[in-house]
Amino acid sequence: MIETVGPSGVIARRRLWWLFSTDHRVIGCQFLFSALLWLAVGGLLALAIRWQLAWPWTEIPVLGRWLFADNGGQITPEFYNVLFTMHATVMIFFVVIPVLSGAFGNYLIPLMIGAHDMAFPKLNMLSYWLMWPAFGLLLTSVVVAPGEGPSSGWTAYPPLSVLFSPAQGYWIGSLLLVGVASMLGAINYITTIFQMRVPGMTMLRLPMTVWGLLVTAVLQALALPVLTAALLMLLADQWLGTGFFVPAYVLNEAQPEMVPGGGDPLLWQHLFWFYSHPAVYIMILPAMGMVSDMLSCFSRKPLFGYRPMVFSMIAIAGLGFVVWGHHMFVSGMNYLLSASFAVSTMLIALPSGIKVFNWLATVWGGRLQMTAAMLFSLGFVSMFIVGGLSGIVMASPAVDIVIHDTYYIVAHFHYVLFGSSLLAVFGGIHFWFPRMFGRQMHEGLGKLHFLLTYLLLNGTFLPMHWLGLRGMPRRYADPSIVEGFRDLQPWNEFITWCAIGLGAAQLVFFANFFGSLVWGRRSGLNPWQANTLEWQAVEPDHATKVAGQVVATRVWRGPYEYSQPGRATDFWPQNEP
Amino acid sequence: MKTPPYFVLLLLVLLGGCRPSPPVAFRPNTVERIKFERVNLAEGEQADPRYAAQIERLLNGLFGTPDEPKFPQFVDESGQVAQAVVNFDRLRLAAGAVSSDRTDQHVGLYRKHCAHCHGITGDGAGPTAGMLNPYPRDYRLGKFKFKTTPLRTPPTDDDLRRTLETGIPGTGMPSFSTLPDDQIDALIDYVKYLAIRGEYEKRLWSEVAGRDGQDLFPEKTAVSADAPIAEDGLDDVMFELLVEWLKEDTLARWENPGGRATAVPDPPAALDPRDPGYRELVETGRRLFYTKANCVQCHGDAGLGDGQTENHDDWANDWLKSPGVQADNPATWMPFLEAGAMPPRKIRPRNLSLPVYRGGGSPDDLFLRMENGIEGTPMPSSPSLSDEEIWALVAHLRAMPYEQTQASAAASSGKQP
Amino acid sequence: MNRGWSLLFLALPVVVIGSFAMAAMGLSPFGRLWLPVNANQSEPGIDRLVNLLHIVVGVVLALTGLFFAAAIWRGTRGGSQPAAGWSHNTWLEVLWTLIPAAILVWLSLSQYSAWNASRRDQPLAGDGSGLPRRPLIRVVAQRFHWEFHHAGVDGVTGTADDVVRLNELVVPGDTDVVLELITRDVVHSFGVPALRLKQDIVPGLTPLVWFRMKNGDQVELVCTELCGWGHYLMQARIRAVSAETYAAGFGDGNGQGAISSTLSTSLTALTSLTALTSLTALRSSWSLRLSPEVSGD
Repeated sequence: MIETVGPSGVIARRRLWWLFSTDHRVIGCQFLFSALLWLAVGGLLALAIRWQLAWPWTEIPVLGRWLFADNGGQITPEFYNVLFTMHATVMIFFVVIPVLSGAFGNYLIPLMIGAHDMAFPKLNMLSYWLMWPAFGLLLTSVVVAPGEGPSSGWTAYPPLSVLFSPAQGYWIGSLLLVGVASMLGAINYITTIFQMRVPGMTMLRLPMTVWGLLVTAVLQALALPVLTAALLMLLADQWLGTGFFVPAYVLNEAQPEMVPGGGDPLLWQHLFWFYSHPAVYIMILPAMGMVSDMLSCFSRKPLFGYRPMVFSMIAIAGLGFVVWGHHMFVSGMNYLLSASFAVSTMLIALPSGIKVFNWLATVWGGRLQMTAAMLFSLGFVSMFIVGGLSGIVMASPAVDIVIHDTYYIVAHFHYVLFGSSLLAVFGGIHFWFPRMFGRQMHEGLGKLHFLLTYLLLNGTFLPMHWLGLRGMPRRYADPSIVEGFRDLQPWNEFITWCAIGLGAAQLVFFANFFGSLVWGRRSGLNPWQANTLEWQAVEPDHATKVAGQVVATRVWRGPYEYSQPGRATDFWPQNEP
Repeated sequence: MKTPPYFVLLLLVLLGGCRPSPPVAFRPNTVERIKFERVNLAEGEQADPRYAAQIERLLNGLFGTPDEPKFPQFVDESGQVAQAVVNFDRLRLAAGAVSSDRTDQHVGLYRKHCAHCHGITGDGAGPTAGMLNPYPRDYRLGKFKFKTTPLRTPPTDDDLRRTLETGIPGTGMPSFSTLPDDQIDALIDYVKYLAIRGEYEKRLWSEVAGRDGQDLFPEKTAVSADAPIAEDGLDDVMFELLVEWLKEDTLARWENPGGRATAVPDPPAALDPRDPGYRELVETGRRLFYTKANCVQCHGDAGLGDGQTENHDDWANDWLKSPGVQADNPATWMPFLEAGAMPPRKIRPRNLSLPVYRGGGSPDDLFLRMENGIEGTPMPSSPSLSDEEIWALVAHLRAMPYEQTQASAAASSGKQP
Repeated sequence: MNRGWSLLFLALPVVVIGSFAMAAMGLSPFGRLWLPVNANQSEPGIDRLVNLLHIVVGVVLALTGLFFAAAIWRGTRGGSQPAAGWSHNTWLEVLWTLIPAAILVWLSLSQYSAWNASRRDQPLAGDGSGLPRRPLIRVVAQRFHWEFHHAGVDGVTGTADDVVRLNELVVPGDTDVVLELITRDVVHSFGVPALRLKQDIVPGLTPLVWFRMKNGDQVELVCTELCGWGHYLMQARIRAVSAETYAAGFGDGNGQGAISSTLSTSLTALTSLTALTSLTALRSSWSLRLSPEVSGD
C-alpha cells in the first residue's frame, strides 16, 4: 500500500542540492536552521535591552565596548530604540513566522497530506531565498548610519518613522521582502492543501497542524497585501516626498525640505494593525495545530472535539480581521469605534477558550507519555492560558487606558509569543527531529531545557504585569529617570537576572539540537507511534539518511484514532485499512 | 541600579572573546591643531607632534581624566583658597562611569544624562549629535546662548541651572527638572569644568603659534606621558607661567559672572493684554520691528524666520573662517570633519509666528535676548534701543503667534513664483 | 518521577494568582505593584474594572489550572490501564461555549460605563447651559517637551494672554479641568498613571481629556508613545493649586464657560491656527528653495 518515491535520490547527486533545492524538506530545514540563527540574534538583542533596563547606562558587555568605546561603553538612547526595534523585527519576521510557516509548514504539509511536494516548488525555494536579502537589508539599516538604525519601533508609527530616521527605508525594504516571501509561501500552502491531498484525505481528516498552517496561509494571503501597500506608501512618504501619512503641519526643522503634508498618521495605524493583528494569529495558529497533534499523540487519546477545534481556529482567523482597533483604543479615534472593537476583542477569547478546554479534555483520561515534546506542549497550553487571560483584561478599552503602552502589554505578548509559540516550536523540534534527521534529541537535556525555560520565562515576564499596572511605559531607555518608577528598579534587575538565565538555558537547547544531529540515538521510522502520514514511510531515504517521501495511496480515517478498542496497538495510522 | 554583575560580564567577555575596553579619555582638540597649521605653517606641513603631546600632558595634569577629574586650586598670599569656580566634590559626582551604591549615591551623572549628545569631552560630538538639529553645544568655546549676562561673559550658575531644568524647547535639549538639586548642581559644575578645560586647550594652541618651534615648556627629564604633573620635571618658571594664564585668563572670566548679570527693569503696565495701552504698545513694537530694531532683516517680514538665512553660528565659524576653507565648498571641510568637527549647517532665525522660544517665553527672557543678543549667533545686542522700546518689541513678539496672520501669509504666498 | 511534572503545572496558577493577589493587596518586597494611588477625584471607574477583570480571569485561571494539573496527575499514574478512547461530549462542549460566551458578553457590556465616563461624558460648564465645558489649558507636546498654555484671564486658550509653562502643568484643584492636546511634530501620548489618563496625541487631532485633582496634589506626566531618542525624558509635573492661587497666576480658572457654537468655531479656528502658521513657515521654506531672491527683503 505504501511506496517511497520522490526526487530525493536525484537531489543527492547535485552538488549544491542543499543550497538551491526545491525539495520541500530541504527548504523546511533551511528555514529551521536560519530561524534558529536569527533566534540567537534576537535573543542577544533582548539581553542587551534588559541589561540597559536593569543597570541603565553601564557598559553593556561586548556590544557596548564594540560600538561605543569612545563613549565609555554605554549605549545611547537612540541605540536603545534601535535595539528594541530590531529585537521585535527579528523575532516576529525572522523567527516566529519563518519557523512556524516556513520550517514546519514546508516540511510537514506535503508529508501530512500525502503529496509528492509543494504545488510550486520553485516559488517555495524563492520564498526562502528572499529571507536572506531581507535580513541583509535589515543589517544594512543598522550599519548604514552607526548608532542610528530604524528606531521607531516595529510599529513604525509615522511621522516619527518618516521624518527622523533615514535608515527606516532599509527596514521597510526588508519587511517588503519578508512579506513577499510569506505571500509566496501562503499561496503555495493553500494550493497544495486544496489540490494535492491523497484520496480519502478529506478536509476534516487533516491533522490540526495542517489546519493551523492552512488558516495561517489564508490570513497571510489576505492581510499581507495591506501591509505591503502600507509599507510602500511609507517608503514613498520618506523617499519620494508623498504625503500619505504625514500631516501638513508637522514641524521638522531637521529636514524641512522633506516634509510632504496632507496625510493622516492614523491611516498608517489602521493599515498596519489590519495586518499586524492577524499576524498575531499567524504566529500562534500553527503552534496551536502542532500542539494539538502532540498532545493527542502523547496522551494516546483522540483529540477532543476535532470539529470544534477546526471551527474555532477558523473563527479566530475570521474575528482576527475585525479586532485590530484594540491596538488603537487611546489613539484618538472615535470612542464608539473603540467600544465596538472591544466587543469583537472580547468575543475572540471565546474560540480561544474553546481550544483550551478541548486541550484539557484531550489530556484528561489520557495515558501521558511525558517526553520533552509533550512537556513543551503542556507548557504551551498553560502559558497560553495566562497570556490569553491577560488579553481579556486589556480587551476593555477603559482598562487599556491604564495599561496601554506599558509593560503589562509587553508581559502579555511575551506570554503568547515566547511562552506559547516558542515553546510549541521547541516541542515541535523535539517531536519531528527524528523525521527530519533520523535521530532523536536527547530527552534528558530536553526536559532540563524545558524546566529551566518554563521557570525562567515566568520569572522574566510575570513581574512585567505589575510594572505595567504601576504605569511603567514600554520603550523607555531608562525608566528609573522618572521619579515615580524609581522604586521599581529592583524588579527590573530581577527580571534581567531571569532573562540572563533564560538566555543561558537556551544554550542547553542549542547543544542538544546540534549535538543530536551528530550523536543522537538513531530513531526508527515511527518512534512516537503516531498516526499521521509523515511517520508512515517504510524505508530510510539514502540521500538524507531519514525516512523517505511517503505517498499513501489512500487514507481511511482521521489522524487521531489512538487507543481504539479492539486493536492490538494503541495507534492506527491513517493509511492503514 | 547597583553595581552590575561583573562575573556575568566576565562570562560574556569569555564567550565574546574580546579584550577589555580602553579607559575613557578626553579627545584632543584636533580642529584647533589644524587651524594652527593652516595659519602658521606652510601648506601640507604638520604641527610638531610634541605640541599636541605637551598640551595633552598639561591638560591631564591640571584637569585629570574623565574618570578622575582634577581642578586647579589657587591659594592667595594669606594662604586662603581663592574663590573656587568649580566645586571639586560636585565634579566627582558628575564624572566617571555611571553607577550608584547601595545608599543610592549616584556618580557618573554627566555620562548618564549628557555624554551621548555632548560627548565625553564636551565637544558637542557625542554619538547622538549628528542626528540633532541644532547640534548639541560644544562647551569648549566657552560660549552659552541663553543667559542673563552680556555677550562674551560666561553664564551664571543659575543660567545653566535654568537650561537644565527647563530644557531648550525646539531643540534636542530635554528638561532635567526631575533630578534632585544636588545632581543638577553637580552637572552645572561639570559643564563649567569642561568649558574651562576646552577654553584653556584652545588658549594653549594659540600660544604654540608664538613659540616658533620652541617647546611649550622645556622638559628636564624624560618621563611617561601620564605621569603626575608634579613629577614630570617641568621647568618651574614655565609651569608658573602656564598656570598663570589659566588663572588670569580663562578662570578669571568664569569668576563671579553673576556680578555682571543684566538687570531686567520692571515691565510697563501696558504689557498686560488687559491694559488699555496694550494695543498701542504692540503697534509700537510692530513699527520698531520693521524700522529701528530692524528685526525684519533676519526674521523676515512676517516673522517666519525667512529673512537672512545664510549665516553660520560661531561654532561653525570657529573653523569655517580658517585659511583654505570655503563655506560653500564641502570638499574644503574634509580635514576638519575628519578631526571631529560637525558638518556646518546654516543657522535659521527663529520663526516668531510660533510661541516657541528656546531661551524661555517670559517677558523677562525675551527682554534679555533683545537687550543682550544671543551669544554665538547673529542675533545682536541692542545698545541703541531704550528699555521702553525693547518692552514694546516684547509685547509685539508675544502677540505675534496669536494674530490672524492670514493677511501676511497671503502676502507671503503671493510673492511666490 | 513523571508525576512530579503535574506539580510544576499546579505551581503555575498558584504562583500567578498568589503573586497577583499580593500585588493587589500591596504586599510586595519592593515598590507598590498595583495601580498607583488614584489622584483623580472623578476617576471613571477604571480601578473597579481592573479589579473586576482580574478577579474574573483569576477564577478562570484557577479552575483551568487546577483541572490541567489534575489531568496530568491522573494521566501519569502508570499502570496498564489504556487511555480513554472518547473524543467528544456534546453537552460539555455546549456548556463550555455558552457559559464563557455569557461571561464575555457581560464583561464587554459592563465596561462601557467607565469608557463612556472617560471619553464621552465631558464635564459640563458651570453656567447651567448644559453644554460641555471649554478646555482650560492647551497641552502642546513636542519632542521632548511639554508646553502648557494656561488660558489666562480671558479663559480661552490660544490667545496672547496665555500663561505658558514648560514641563509644569498647574490646574485649579477640586474642580473639573478639561485639557485639549495637540502636538507639534510626531505622535506623543499624554499619560498620567495616577489620574488614570492616557491619550495619544496624533498630529491633526485635538483630543480632550478631563480630570479633577485634590488641591495640593502633585502627579507625574509621562509620554507613553514612542517619539524618538528622548522619549524617556519627556516628563512633566501636574500640580493642583487652590482656585485663588490659580486665579492669581494663570487667570480665572472658574470662568469655565461652555463651548457655545461661536466659541467652538473659534476653538476650531485657533486649533488650526497653529497649523496655518506652521504651514506658512513650511511654504516659505519651500519658496526659499525655489526662489532665493525672496530671502533678500
